[in-house]
Amino acid sequence: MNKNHKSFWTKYIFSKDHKVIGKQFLWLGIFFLLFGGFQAMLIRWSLSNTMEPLPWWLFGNILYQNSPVGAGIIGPDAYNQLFTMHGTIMIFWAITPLLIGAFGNFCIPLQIGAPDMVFPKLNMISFWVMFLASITLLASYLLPQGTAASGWTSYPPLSTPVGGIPGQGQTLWTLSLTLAGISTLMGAINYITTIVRLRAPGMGYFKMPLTTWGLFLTSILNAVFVPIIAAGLIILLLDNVAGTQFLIAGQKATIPGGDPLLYQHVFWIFGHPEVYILILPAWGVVSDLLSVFSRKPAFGYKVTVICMSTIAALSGIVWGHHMYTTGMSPLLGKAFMFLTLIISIPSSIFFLNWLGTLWRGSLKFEVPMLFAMSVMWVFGLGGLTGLYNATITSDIYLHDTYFVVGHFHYTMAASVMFGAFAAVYFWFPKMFGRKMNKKLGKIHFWFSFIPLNLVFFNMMVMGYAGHHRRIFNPSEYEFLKPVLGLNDFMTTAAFILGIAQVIFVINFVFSLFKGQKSERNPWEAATLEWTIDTPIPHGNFTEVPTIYHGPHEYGNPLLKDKDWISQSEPFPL
Amino acid sequence: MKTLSTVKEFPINKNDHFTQSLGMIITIGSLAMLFITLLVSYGILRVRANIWNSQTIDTLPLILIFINTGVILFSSYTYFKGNKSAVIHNRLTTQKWVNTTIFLGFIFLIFQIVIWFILTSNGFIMTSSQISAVFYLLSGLHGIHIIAGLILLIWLNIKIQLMENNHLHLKLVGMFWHFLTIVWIVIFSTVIII
Repeated sequence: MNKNHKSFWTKYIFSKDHKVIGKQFLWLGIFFLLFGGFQAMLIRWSLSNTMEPLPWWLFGNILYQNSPVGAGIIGPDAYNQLFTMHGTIMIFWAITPLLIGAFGNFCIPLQIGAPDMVFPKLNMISFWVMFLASITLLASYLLPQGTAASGWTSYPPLSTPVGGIPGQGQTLWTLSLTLAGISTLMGAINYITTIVRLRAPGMGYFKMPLTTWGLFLTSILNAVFVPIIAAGLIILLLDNVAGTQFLIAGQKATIPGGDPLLYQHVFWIFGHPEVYILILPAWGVVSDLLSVFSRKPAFGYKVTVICMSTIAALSGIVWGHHMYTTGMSPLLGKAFMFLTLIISIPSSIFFLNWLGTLWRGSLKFEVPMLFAMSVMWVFGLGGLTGLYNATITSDIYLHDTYFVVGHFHYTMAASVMFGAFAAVYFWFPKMFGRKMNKKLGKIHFWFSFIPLNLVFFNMMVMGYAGHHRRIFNPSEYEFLKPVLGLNDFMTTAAFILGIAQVIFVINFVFSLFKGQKSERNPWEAATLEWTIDTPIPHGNFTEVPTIYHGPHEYGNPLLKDKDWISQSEPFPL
Repeated sequence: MKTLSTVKEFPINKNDHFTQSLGMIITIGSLAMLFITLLVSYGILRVRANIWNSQTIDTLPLILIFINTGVILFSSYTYFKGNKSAVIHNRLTTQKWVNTTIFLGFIFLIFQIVIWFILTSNGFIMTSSQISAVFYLLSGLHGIHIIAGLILLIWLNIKIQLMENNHLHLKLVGMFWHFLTIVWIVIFSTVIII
């Protein structure tokens, strides 16, 4: 039987080809990105126009028609559900599938010169488990009492039936997150094994592109830490459905000996590495892209790799900084503070490496480059504000305020999202054979970058003024009166940011069908994926590539007629 | 700059032992993290509890649990024997030992269910105390993995019937099965004995 003969179902739906699976994750990620983004718009509306009906352009005549506080109005309960699902969806259903699912699948085999993943079938199952998880999550919207509403962290007792939020939303949330975790784990097994075993001849670890390095470290963190949250979720699920009380203490507990703090520890042992799980691929993408568009080798390539590995290793032992206000012993708190602050050393070193890459390069301000450079800004700002959260003295004041919200939106949302956008604009020609529109891309960039900073920077200002992260109606509080103007301003900026993403979607769909046809290597990049014709055939490489040098050979004086050389091409002698 | 790396062998066969074992090792490592987290959580609950009466399991189920531990230990031994006879290419003996392992695995699973039934009918249910919740959580989760292990073993049995060389399959399933034995020993010694 001809193995290449495939029906529609095996080619596009139940495909075992890593490129198709990558695209499937891309669709899933973009869908949930828009979904979660729309929820952010609703949150902003509710914060500056509390208890007012939604306007038509936020679908006020369709949404919240059965709201107990009036048609089209977001009540306090609905608001809780909104921010819970916004966080959950953005972290686990938008960023994770986009960077790890889509670009992990698409880039890893191509960049290391492999024909496919080691376990293609597992790869396919990974996507469909994620799909099942998505359906489980979306099913919670159909419940009479709505979705989970205890925040994306789902701390007990809020997330348990004992004194918690009523309804089965939490159960479905827990189930869907467990499934998503299983999917991620399958991906991690595949990625690690593929990178360890299927590198092309000559592709040493220190010749891999930094994107692959980032994804490699991410996968290791996933394999180690996702099972930990799975354990926490299993306990939480049993508390929700089986009547156990592992996480319940105090007067309402009928079984003595439970401990709500247990969940917080388990959650953050996973939760802190999760931040790096999300951002490491973005760092890798940015490091590569800065080099491509500066036409210079990445500055301090090995140091960058070592720094990223150090951060990955350190991330597992700093979780306590999320819990300073839980009454932990001051000595333990100081230890966590010390370990957390140590992370700033490797971060600053590779931040310096990014600047070193840009230094005296011949910069080409293509759209991916703009996004890559903006990651430097947003991550720099997010990283710096992290120091105030890491320090106990300032964190006790800032804990659970909008300062924290602003900080993690800068580091996780903005950096990772912009990294993902950079990746989409960069690899779009290789994925679909067409270029994305440059003009629309630039409009998308500026209308994302400026409003984003206006929103998230002002969040930190409001947090410093004392705005708690989960209050429903800011206008009720005397101490927030001076910053209410800022609140409205942020909402306007957030709507501009939201509309800018519509431009992205239009550009994406338009370019998919009508975009300018792209040549094989439009960016003149040196990594392996650009040596193949688009569309990439099944099995990727017609002949096994041999690797002669590192991934960033740009502007080498040995080269005469062009300023770059592919990894699989020997230097002209 | 003109370094030309030493070219190594490629393409690596995706079915070579190291690649496949690496995948299994990562899987087992992840599962180990899951069980370690639960066991540590159990330890924390137990250390922080005022009263922890672990003598609440009745004598009859206790004896059954002891027997069951012997059963799963013995199943690991029979698997080990099967692996050994595969090395000397004795397919029939291998199959015999693998079948014994499957049989013992089913015995273990059935015994666990019987133990659960006896315990629940004696009032030792999931919501009666933290110790019962911990017991059902850990043994239940282990049981789910035993079911997965049995599916793998049956798949292996079919493979042995169809194929001549099964070293890799035997190795992979063996890693998983021995891992489950170790997990049960740890659960048994921390939850039941201590």
